Amino acid sequence: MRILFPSLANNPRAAIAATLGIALVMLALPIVVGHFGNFWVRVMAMALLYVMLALGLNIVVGFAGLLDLGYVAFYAVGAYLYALLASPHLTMNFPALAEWMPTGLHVPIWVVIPLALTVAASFGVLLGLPVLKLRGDYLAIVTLGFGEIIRIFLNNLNAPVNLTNGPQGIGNIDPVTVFGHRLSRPLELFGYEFSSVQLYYYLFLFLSVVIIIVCVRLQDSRIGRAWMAVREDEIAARAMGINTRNVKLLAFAMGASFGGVSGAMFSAFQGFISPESFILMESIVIVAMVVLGGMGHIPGVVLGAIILYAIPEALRIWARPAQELLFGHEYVAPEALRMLLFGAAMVLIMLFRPHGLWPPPTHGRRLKSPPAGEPPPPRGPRPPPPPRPPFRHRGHADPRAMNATVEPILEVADVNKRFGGLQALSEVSMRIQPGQIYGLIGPNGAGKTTFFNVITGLYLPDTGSFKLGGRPYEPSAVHLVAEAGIARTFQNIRLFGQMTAIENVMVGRHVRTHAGIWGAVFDTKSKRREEAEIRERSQALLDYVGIGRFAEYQARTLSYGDQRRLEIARALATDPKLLALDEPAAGMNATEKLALRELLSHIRNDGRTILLIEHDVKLVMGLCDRVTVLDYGKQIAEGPPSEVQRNPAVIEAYLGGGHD
Amino acid sequence: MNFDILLQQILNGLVLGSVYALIALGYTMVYGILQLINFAHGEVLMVGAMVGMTMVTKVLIHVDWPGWVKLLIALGTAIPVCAALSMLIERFAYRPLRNAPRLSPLITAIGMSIVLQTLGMIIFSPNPQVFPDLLPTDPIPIGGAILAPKQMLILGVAAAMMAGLTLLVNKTRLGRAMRATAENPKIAGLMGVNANLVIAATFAIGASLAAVAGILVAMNYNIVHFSMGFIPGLKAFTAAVLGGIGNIQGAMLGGLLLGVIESLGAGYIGDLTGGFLGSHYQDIFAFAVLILVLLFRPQGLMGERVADRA
Repeated sequence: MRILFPSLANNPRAAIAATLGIALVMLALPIVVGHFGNFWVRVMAMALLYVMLALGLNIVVGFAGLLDLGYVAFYAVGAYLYALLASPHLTMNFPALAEWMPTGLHVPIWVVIPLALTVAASFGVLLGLPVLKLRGDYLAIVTLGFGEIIRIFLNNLNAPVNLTNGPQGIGNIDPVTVFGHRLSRPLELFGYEFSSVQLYYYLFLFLSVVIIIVCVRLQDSRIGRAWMAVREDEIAARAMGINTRNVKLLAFAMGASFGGVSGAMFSAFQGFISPESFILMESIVIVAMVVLGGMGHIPGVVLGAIILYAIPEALRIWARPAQELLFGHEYVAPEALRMLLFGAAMVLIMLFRPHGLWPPPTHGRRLKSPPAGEPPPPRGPRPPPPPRPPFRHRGHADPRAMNATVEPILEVADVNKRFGGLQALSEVSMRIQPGQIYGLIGPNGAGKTTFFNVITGLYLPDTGSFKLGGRPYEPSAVHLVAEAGIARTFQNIRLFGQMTAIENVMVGRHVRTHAGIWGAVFDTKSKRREEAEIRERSQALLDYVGIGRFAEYQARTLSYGDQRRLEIARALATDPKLLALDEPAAGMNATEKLALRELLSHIRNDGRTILLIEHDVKLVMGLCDRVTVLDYGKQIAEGPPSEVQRNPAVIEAYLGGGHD
Repeated sequence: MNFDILLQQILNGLVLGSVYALIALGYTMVYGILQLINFAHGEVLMVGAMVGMTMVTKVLIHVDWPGWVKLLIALGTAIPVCAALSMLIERFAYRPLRNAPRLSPLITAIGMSIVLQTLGMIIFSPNPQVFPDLLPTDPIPIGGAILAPKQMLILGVAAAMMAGLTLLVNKTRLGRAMRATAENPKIAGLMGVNANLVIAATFAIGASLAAVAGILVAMNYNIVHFSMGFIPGLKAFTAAVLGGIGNIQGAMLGGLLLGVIESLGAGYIGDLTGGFLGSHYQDIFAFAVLILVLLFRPQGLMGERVADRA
C-alpha cells in the first residue's frame, strides 16, 4: 500500500480505506459503464491489458533502465502461442494432426499461461544473451529489429508451410474458461447478467492486480535493487559483485513473460489475431505509456497505460460529434484527429512533465531529500564507531608485526600491461599482509590506476599471477573479483545516486545473499528473513562509517565527504578480504581528510586489509604500514613509509632529478 | 551464378544504399551531439518529398521548363522548408528537454513523428500520389546491367552531398565547432562555441540531406506517401548504428552496405534457402545483419570503442 499511498504510510487505516475504495470503484465500474454500452467496457478491459503490458515493460525500461523498442514481439509470441494451441488452425493445415485430434486443438488457457510465460521468457533470454552487452541505444535498435523480424515472420509464415496464416491471421480462438464457464457467454449472478466483456474485464482486473503485486515485491527485493543499481551505474554495480549480464537477462525475461501472458489473454479475448496487432507502433506506444506515466513508478505506469489507451479510444467516438457541434461540419477524420492528438499529447506531456505524469516521489523511492532552506543535519564531531565492527573480526595479531608465516591477503607477481606503444605496467609485484594499510603512490601517469584496474578485473593484464587470501584468482571480470573478495571504491565517486544511502549499502550485500525471483514474488519467509538481515547489517555499516542518520536520504544529496563514507560502507558490505580505495581523499578539504584518516585506521584496527592509492603523500605516510612507489609503470621502491621517503629514486621521481 | 544479375543487384543496392546513407547522416550527426534518436527525421524526409511534389505538380505544372530545372527548383524549395522545420522541432520539442531524463526527448521525438505523419496525411491526402518523371527514362547500360538516368542521378547527388558534408565537417569553422560540441558540449561552450547555434545548424544540415533524400526517393519510385519516411528512416537509423553511431564516415559506409546487403539478400534468399524464404523477407536482412555486426563489433563498424572508465 505504501507504494500507492506514500502519504498514508503512517496511517495504515487510511491506506486500507483508500485501497478498499479503489477496489470498490474498480469492481463497480463495468456495471455502471455497462449502461452506456459494451463498447466502453471493452475499452476498459483493453486498457487493463495495456496496464499489464506496460508493467512488464516497466521492469525492463523503468527498473533496469534498458530501452526495449521491440517489446510487442513477446506479446505476439504469447498471442500466437495460444492461437495455435486453441484454434482449429493447426488441425486444418496439418492432416496428420487432425487425425490425432479430430476436433481441433483446444488447450485450455490455464495450461497455456505457464507455457506462454516460459516461451516468451525464453525468447527474451534468446534475444538478450547476445545483445545485452550493447550500450543503451544500440540495444534499443536491436530490440526494434527483433520486433520487426518476428512480425515479418508472422506475416510470411503461411507458405510453404502454413503456420501463422500470414496477414489473414488466425480466427476461431477459444475463449477463456473459468470454473467451466466460457467467458464468451454472459453469466447471470446475483440476479445481474454479466456480459462477456464485463467478465473479461474482471479477469484482466484480477491479473493486473497480481502483476502489480509481483512488481511491487520485485521492486523491493534484492533483485529489484540489483536492477536499479545496474540502471544507475553499471560499472559500480559490477564492482559490487553483481553479474550485470544475468541481472539484465532476468529483467528481460521477466518483462517478456508478462508480455507473453498478456498476449495469450489478448488472443482469447479477441478470438482473432493477425500481425496487424503487433506492429512497431504498438511497441512504441507501450514505451510511451511507461515513460509518460513515470518510469519505474508502478502507479504512474498504470496511469500512463490507462490514459494513453483510453483517450484515443474516446476520441474515436467523440471526434465527429465534437467537430459537428463546434463547427457544424466534420473537418478531420476521426482516425487522423486521434493520431494528431495522440502525438501532440506525447510531446506536450513530456515538455511540461519531463519526468512523467506521476513520477516516483523525488525521483527515487521513499526518499527524503534534505528539505530546502533547512540546513543539513549538524556535522559536528562524528559519533565514535561502535565497539563491535559490523563485519567478521579476522583476529590477526598485531598487523604491523610483520609475520612472515602469515599468508598474504593479496599476492600479485609480474604484472605487465601494455596500451599500444605504452608499457603502462612492467613486472609489478605486490604482497599485502593481512591487517595492513598498503599504500600505492607515484607521480601522475605512473600506472597506479592501471594497476588498480588490473587487479580489480577492469583491465585484462598481459601477464601476471594473482592470489587472494592464498587462493589464485583470475581478474577476468569485475564482478568475479568482487565475489572473490576485493571491494573497490572509485576516484570519482560512483554511487547509485537515485537510491537511498541504505539501499546503496544493501546493494553491496547482493553478492553475499541469495534471494531470487521466486523468493521475491512469493515473499517467502527465508526471503523476508534475509531482507531484514541485509537491512540491519547495512544500517550497522552506515553507523560504523558515521552516516547512520542519513540512511533514508538520497545518495546524491549527501555531502562530498559523506558520499565517500557511503562508498566505503557499500564496499565493506561485500565482506571483502581486501578493501581497495582509489584516491579516497581526492577533492577533500583538510577536516574531511582528517576524518577519513580516522575512519581508515578504525577499519584497519578492526581487522580489515586496505589497499590505498593516493596522491596525498602526507596521508599515505601517516597512515600506511607499507608503501609501493610506481614510476613509469615500474616499481621503484617498496617498504615502510619512513624508508621509502628517504629513497633517492623516489625523491627523484617526485621532485625530478638532474638539478645541480 | 549469373554475373550480370549480380552486378545489377549490386548497382540497385548502391542506389538504395546511397539514399539510406543520406538519411543516416542526419541521424548520426544529431546523435553524435545530443545522444538523441531523432525519430522525426524520417518524417522530415516525407515533408521534403511532399514539398517537392507540390512544386512540380501544382506550382510548376503549366510552366514549360526542362525536367532538370523543375527538379532543381523542387530541391531548392524542399531544402529550406525542411531545414526550417527541423530547426523548429529542435527548438520547441528537444531543446527544453536537454537536461531531462534521457528517454523524455525520445518520446517527444516519437510524438513529433506521429504529428508530422498525421499532418502529412491530412494535408496531402491518405492516398499515395504520383511524382512525375522529370528525367529521360531510357536506361543506360553499365557492363551487363542497366541503370535508369534517375538512378545515376541518385548516385551522383548522394556522392556529391557526402563529399560536401565531409568537407564541411572537416575543413570549416562550423564543422570544427560541431566536432568539438559532439566531443564535449560543456568544454566546447567554455571555448566560446555557441552550442545552441551548432545544434540548430546540425539539425538544419541533417534535414537538408533528408529533403534531398526525400525527393530522390519520390523520383525513384514515382510515388509520394505520408508514411514514406518511416521505413527508410528506420533502415537509415539501422545503417547509422551499423556504421557506428555518431560517426559520419560510418553512416555513409553503413548506408551503402545495408543497401547492397538488402538488395543481394532479396535477390538470392530464395536460392539460399531452397525456396523456403522468399524476397518478402528482404526487411529481415537489415536487422539480422545489424544484430550480427553488433555481436562482433558492439561499437559498430567504424565507431570508436568506448572503454569502460573507472
